[in-house]
Formats: sequence, C-alpha cells, structure tokens
Amino acid sequence: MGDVWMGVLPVAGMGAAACLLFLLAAVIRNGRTMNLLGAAAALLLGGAPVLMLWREGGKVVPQALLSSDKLALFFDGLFVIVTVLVLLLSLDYFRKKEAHHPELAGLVCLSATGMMVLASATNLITFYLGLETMSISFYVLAAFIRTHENSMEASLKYFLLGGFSSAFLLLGMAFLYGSSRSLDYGGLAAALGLRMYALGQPILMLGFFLFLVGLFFKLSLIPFHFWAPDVYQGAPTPVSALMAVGGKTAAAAAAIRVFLSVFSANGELAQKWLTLMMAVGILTIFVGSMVALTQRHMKRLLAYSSIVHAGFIALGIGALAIPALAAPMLQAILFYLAAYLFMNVGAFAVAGAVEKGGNMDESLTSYAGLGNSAPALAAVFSVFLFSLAGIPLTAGFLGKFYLFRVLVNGGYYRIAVLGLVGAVIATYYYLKVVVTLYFPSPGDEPVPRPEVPAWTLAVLILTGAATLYLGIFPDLLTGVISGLRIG
Amino acid sequence: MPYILSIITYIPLLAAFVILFVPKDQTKLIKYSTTAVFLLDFLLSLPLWFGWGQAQAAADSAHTLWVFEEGPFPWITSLGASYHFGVDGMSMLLVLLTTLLGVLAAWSSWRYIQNREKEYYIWLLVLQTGMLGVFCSLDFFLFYVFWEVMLVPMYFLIGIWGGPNKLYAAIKFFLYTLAGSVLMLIGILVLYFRTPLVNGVHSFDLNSILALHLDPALQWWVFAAFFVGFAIKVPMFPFHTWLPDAHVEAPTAGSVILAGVLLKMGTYGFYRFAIPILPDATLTWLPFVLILSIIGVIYGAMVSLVQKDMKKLVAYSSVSHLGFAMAGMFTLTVAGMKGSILQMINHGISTGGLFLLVGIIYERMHTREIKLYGGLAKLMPVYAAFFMIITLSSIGLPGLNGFVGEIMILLGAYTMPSYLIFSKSLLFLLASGMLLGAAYMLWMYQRVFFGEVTNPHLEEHVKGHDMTGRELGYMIPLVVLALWIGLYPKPVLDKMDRSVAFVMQRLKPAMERVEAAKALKPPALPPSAEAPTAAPIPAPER
Repeated sequence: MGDVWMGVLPVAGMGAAACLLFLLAAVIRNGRTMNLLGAAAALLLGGAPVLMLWREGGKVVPQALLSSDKLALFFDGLFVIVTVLVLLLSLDYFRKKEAHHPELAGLVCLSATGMMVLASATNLITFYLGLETMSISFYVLAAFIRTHENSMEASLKYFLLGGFSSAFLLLGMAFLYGSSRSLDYGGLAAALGLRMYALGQPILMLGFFLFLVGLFFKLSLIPFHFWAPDVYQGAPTPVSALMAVGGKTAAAAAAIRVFLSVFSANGELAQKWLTLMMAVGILTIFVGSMVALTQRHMKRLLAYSSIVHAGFIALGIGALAIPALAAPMLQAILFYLAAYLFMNVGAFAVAGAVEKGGNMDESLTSYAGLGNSAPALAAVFSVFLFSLAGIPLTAGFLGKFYLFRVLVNGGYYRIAVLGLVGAVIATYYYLKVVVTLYFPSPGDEPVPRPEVPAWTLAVLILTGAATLYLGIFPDLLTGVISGLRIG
Repeated sequence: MPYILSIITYIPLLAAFVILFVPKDQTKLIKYSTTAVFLLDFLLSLPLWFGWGQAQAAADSAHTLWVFEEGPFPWITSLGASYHFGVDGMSMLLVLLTTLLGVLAAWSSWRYIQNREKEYYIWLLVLQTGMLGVFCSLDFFLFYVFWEVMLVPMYFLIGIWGGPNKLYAAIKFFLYTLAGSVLMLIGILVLYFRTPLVNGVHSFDLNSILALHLDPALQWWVFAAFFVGFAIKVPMFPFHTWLPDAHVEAPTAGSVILAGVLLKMGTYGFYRFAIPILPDATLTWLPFVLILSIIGVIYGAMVSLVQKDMKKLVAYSSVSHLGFAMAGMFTLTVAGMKGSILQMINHGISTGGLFLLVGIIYERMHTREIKLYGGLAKLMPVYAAFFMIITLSSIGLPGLNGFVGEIMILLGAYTMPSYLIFSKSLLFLLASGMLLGAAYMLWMYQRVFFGEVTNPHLEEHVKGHDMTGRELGYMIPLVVLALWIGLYPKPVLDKMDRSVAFVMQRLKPAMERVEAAKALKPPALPPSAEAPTAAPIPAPER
C-alpha cells in the first residue's frame, strides 16, 4: 500500500466500520447486538490502524489533505475510546427507553469518522468535511428518541444553530481563500506570516475571525454557547456524552492544529489571538460558572460544566500560538482533554443510570439521598464531580494543574489568578450536587436505588478507575503525550 | 523503624479501606476497631518522641534538618514531584498532637454519633491521613495534595453530622479554604519555576526551593499568595469568618480536630514555608502580620466575651489564641518562635479539651446556651473540676501549659530587635489579650458552674450523670499533658531547638540587611560649616 493510503487508514477504517454497520443494520434488527458489534468494529477497524500507525511514529504525507501525525493519532485514539464507551452506555440506555434502533451504532461510528477527519485535517476543505460529517450525525443522533418532544427539540435547535455556524464558517473560508489563494493550512500560514500583507488585508483577518466563530460555536464558548444546555438536556444521555466529549475534543483538536500551524506563523499577531482566546476563555469560565449555579437539572448542569471546561481549554489553546509556550501547553491541553473524556463520560453515565424511563433529564432532587440508597454509585459520581471541580488525586486536578503551570511559567499571572478564582466558583455547583447526594434536605423524598445495568457498571468502573489513576500516576499518559507535535 | 512516618500516615487510610467492607449495622465493631486503629497509630508515633535523640543525631551527621527522612522518591516525573517525607522537631510535635487527638476524637464520638456511624469513622480515618500527610510532606506538590484532599473528609464530617446549619457551614469551610489554597498554588508554581532544571524538569522539593536565592520583589508577591492561603487556615483576622460557623456546626470530634490540628496547618505553613523560603518578604510583611495578629488576639477575645453559646465562645477564643501564636512567630526571636510552637500545641490541648468538655454536657442537655446552665458545679463536681483545669490552662495560669507559651511569646516580643517594627510597644497589647482571655473564660465558668440551679431540666438530666469512665479516660491525658508542659516544658522545648535555629539562620542575612539599612540612615546630621567635599568621588572598582 502506498503512503497515501497508510495515512488515511484510521479514518478509512472508522468510515468502513460505519458503512458496514449501516449495511448490517438492514439485516440484524436487534439494537443491542448492533451496539456490541459497533463497539467491536470501532475497536478493530478504527482502533487497530491507530495503534499500528502510532507504533510507526505516524504517517505524514506531503501535500495530503489529512495528516496522520502522532498528534492526530492521539486524538483518534480518544475518539475510539469515546465511541466504544458511548455504544456500551447506549446498550442499556435505549433498552430502558424502549427505543432501540439498529442504526445507532453506524451513526456513532460515522460521527467518530468526522471527528477523526477534523482532528487530522490540514486543509479547509477536509476540515469542513469532517465538521459536517460529525455534526450531521449528531443532528440525527440527538433526535434518536423520536417519540420524545425534548429529543426532537434538541435536534432541531442543534440543526438550525449548527447550520448558522456552518454558514459563518463557510463565509470565513471563502474570505480566506479569496485573500490568500489557498485552502491549505500551510498556505494560510504563509499569507498570515507576511505581516504587512496580513494587516493590510481586512478580508483575510475577517476570514480568520469568522472561522474562529465557527470553532467557538462547536466548543460552546461564550457567547456562542446557547445551544449546548438545551441540546445536551434533550438528547439521549449517551448521545449527550458523545457530543460533550467527542464533539468538543474534535473541535479542540482542530483549533489546536490551526493555532499551531497557522496562527503561530505571525509572532506579532499571535499575541492578539492569545488575548482574544484568553478574554473568551475567562468570560466563558465566569459566565458559565455563574449560570451553572442556578441550574436545577443534572444534564443542564453538566452542559454548563462542559462550557466552563471549554473555557479552560480556550485559555490553553490561545497560548499555542506563542512558540515558547506551545510545546508544554500542548501537553497540558492533551492531558486536560483525556481527563475530561473519562470524568465526563462517567458523569453522563451516572446521569443516564439515574434517569427514569419517561424523562430525558432529571432534576437534582432525583439525586437526593443517593448516598444512602446507592452508596457505590454515589461514591463514583462524587469522584467524577470532584474531578470536574479539580480536587487533587483526580485527573481533573492535574489537567488544570498542568494548564496553569504553563500559564504561570509564561508570566500570565493575572489570567492564572482569574482562572483559578473561576475554578473555585465552579467548585460550588459541583459541591451542590455532592450535597444533594449525601445531605438530603428533610423535605426531599429519598430516591429508590436506581438500577445500574452491567454495561453501564463496566463503563463506570473503567472511567472511575481512569479518573483516579490518571490523578495519582499521570506519568503513563504524560509519557504518551510528551513530544507530540504537528507534522 | 524505617518509613515510620509513612506507616503512621497511611495506617488510618488502610483501616478506612478495610472498614468499607464491614456491614454498616456492625456499629460496635466499627467504633471499637476505629478507636483501636487510632490508638495503634498513636502508639506507633511514640517512637518519634522516644527515639528522637538518636534520630536527630543521625540527621545531624547527615547534615540535614529532616529527621526520619524518607525519599525523595520520584513520583510524577513529568512534573518533578517526588514523594518526600520527613519531620523536624516542630512538625514531629504536631504529628504527635494529631495522633493523640485522633484517639480522643474517635473515643469521644462513641455516643455522640448515632447515625451513619460507618461513614463517620471512615471519614475520620481519612482525615487523619490527610493531616499527617500535610505535616510530613517535604515536597510542595505532595503537601498541596494532602492540604486539599483533607478538605473533603472535613466537609463530609461537618455536612452530615453537624448541627442545624451544617450545609452552609460545610460549603463555606470548603470554598473559603479552597480559594486560599488556589492562590497559594500560584505562589508554589512561581517558586517551582525558579528551581534549576534537573533532567529537564523543575522540582517541587522543599530542599531545592530552600536553596533558591529569590529577588525581594518576587518574594513579596509569593508571600502575598502564601499569606492568603495560610492566613485563611489559621485563621487570622479578617479571614476568620468561616471558623465560628464551622466550629459551631461540626460534631464534637470534628471541632476537636478542627481546632486541635487543622488550624495549626496555617501557622505550620508560615513556619515551614513562608518564613524560611521568603525571609526578605517576611521582614517586609512583618508589621502587617503582627498588627493583624494583635487585632485577632483582642478581637477574638472581645467577641468571645459576648457569646451566648459555649461552643461559639470557645471557637472565637481560637482566633485569639492563634493570633498569639502568629505574633510570637513573627517576633522572629528564638523565644517567640518556641513560644509560638508551644502555643500551637497548648491550643490543641486546651481548646481540644474545652470542645470535648462542651460536648460532654451537650450530650446530656442538648444545648450549649450558657444562660440555661448555672450551678452545674453542685450537680457534676468532677466535671466542674476538669473544666476548671482546662479553663485555667487556656487562660495561661502559671503551672499549666498555657502560661509557658504565652510568657515565651511576650518574652520574644520584649527582646525583638527594634529595627524590625516601627513601634515595639504595640506588642504589649498582646498582654491585654491574656487579660481578656481570663475574663471571658472565667465569666463563662462562673455563669455555668456557680450560683443556684435555675434550670429544672438540669437537675433532671444531669444529676447523678457525672463524667463516665470513658469521658474521664479521654480527658485525663489532656490534663496530664497540660500539667506536664506547665511544670516541666524543657523536653518539649528542647525538641524545637534545631528547627527554630534553622529558621533563624535563614532569616539572619535579611535581618542583617535591614539592620544595616536602618543604621545607615543619617541621624539628622548636625549643620556643619564645611561644604561637602567637592573632590570627585572615584567610581567604585568592579
């Protein structure tokens, strides 16, 4: 096989898995079997090529539209993990909702294909292709419980707003092409690198700006976050997990590549991108935390939590444009994203387990006294919550720690102080959930012990163990991500 | 015994893990075994005291301050964080205090805690590990991990088994401390990045941070960050507002540990980290810290005077006592520092004892309102005697432990170099703190124990229910300690020698600089007839 083919092997594998699953869905009408098959296909067809290429140190083809460097492969690995976890969660979740459809597995794999393309795109066209493949799968997945109003509403809202953001993105891309004559990241970097030229080209700058708006939407950074709470709340819970973790990680991966390869090309402008990202990040952290304080429903709360986490990631992404900070910051973000994956999938898994058959979201009072009726579930949920809050011995703490370490090293003390103050505010609403779990107020009715089916239990054990393990012995992961770079 | 510090630290955690698998209706088994574990932990920590001379000699010959040192073993190599344990005389004493109070806290909870016992004892054990870890860590990252993780068990202890307003108190405690510690984290990171690179990473190890030569301007900022983190924990005025809430709501054992051990972490932080690492900033911040401490001493005492609730009174008295400890430490004299450390231990003994005593009466009457008592001495003579001794120890009556600490602090204030602060007489306001302390404690004692029995319930619930054997059992050690330290403090004070000498030696160059600068200031030159020499001043040779 030629190098070109080797380079697209992970994407092709995952895409093939999706197609295969769609075909099989015509024959095998049992949703549970299909989900298991989907998990196996994602591991074999998507995961195996990733591992294989990783061993070889990645495969970069000059002039190709996709780059399978180790950075992209790392993200591919994360997407495979999310896909498998989400499919396992779906096994139990859709049975409870009595809404099993065999097509789910194919769609989840298709969205993962989109994420992989997005993470390895080195060209605006592939970037857009990946984004749309992922998003369109999400639109369908969000509406997967067709009989439920909220699910339909979530899908429609996501579709309309997502369409808007795609339009912005396309317009931006058109501007970029028009002013730089290039769709390739390398070409864009070259256009941006000529400082006089870049500043003299308002169209070019506007293009970048609109492009960023599209990314901000996918990352749900304030003020482009409005869709996230509604969509996460209305979508089936495993799908919410997929969107919150997979979708965001993919958008972050794309942003990382753009910042590393394009925005870093112009040292003087880099500082401006950094300022922009830090302003947006701090704003997101603060507004997100404040609004989260008033939430009464678990999935909405988790949605705001994911918004706040995106704010922290944005702080980091901005620093990628500064060459001196890029390498340590990249590691910090990668660690953060990995930690984010495990603790968030875990938290959504708990939310899915507690959900009753007819509801798409449960109010916090449904968690009252869970510490008594289901101590193990409450304990593992607390681990996720403390990790999301960033308490030591959890992966979430080290994620934040690595991030702020680089900010302090770069001398951004004020941003570090602001970000950490935001983190303390955010801790409050996680604590509120812990309070509900363990200290029910006298008026609350004690909730019965929710059923935790086998596959959900497996996912909880896996994510909980990973959250703690990475929080105590992070060297395994930092060893994997050290030295990752583009190209 | 090698690795004794780790053994002491992790035994409670291990026990907590085992108890997790005990069925929760086996409450007797749980509480007896937990108390046994605490006792075992305490017994294991005794070799620290009895083997000190030998271990100290070994450390001396190895030219290190740290006794019973373990590590540093690499832990997170990508960060440069290591597993490094060790104590000096000061932290050894705090470790002993922690293990002792742990036994008393568990023992005193047998009757007080009537619901969800299993979780309660598990959290108590986890908390113990966290606290011991804080005092033993010589790696800044490790220290921070223990410092933060310890919040979680305390949060649950207050939140589940606390009084009526427990949730508010628990969350306030958690967020307040967290806010302080994240700022401290930034200070830690700033220092971390100044350490030399070894194998491509900086180091969190205390030894390498102590080896740094830091610019005074940088020190000022780092001290500011540390100050917020530690001052909230002490708590110093005006960061003390979480304390009364947490204390009043916490169960008795929680209060004992909170007052006895947790508050010491703030003073410990100043002593172990802020002062020796940042000597120049210490001198710059000194007037500010001293003034806040003095305000704390007087304010805490004044507020205690007007409290209607016994527990709240004791809680505010902590603000006053720890103000004393802070002031002593910042006199930067050997006597003041030793007095300060002793004051920390004394506070653990006397305030821990007071909380236990208040808990004893609360278990009988279910109220802590002072005005509902009166004439208790007639009904519970033994209890009254114990209360008296501990009260006097808290006031600082000669012959009891409190006196030694306070007099040493005042001695430190008296001998403090006058170039360090604008007005030394300010420090003698501290003495008024002692006076007020006597006032509020004795006044409370008078109202609770003397006079006629006015409350009919008192007779009903208390008469014939003087202290039980168990209650005597956990109070007697405290009284013995109070007497021992009061009469013969030398063994305790001697243990601090090396530690205090080390801190003083760290401060010496900075103090000499300040002294020289003050001496150089021209003392208003007499008008001289001669014009200043016009000869060109030769450029200083390089």
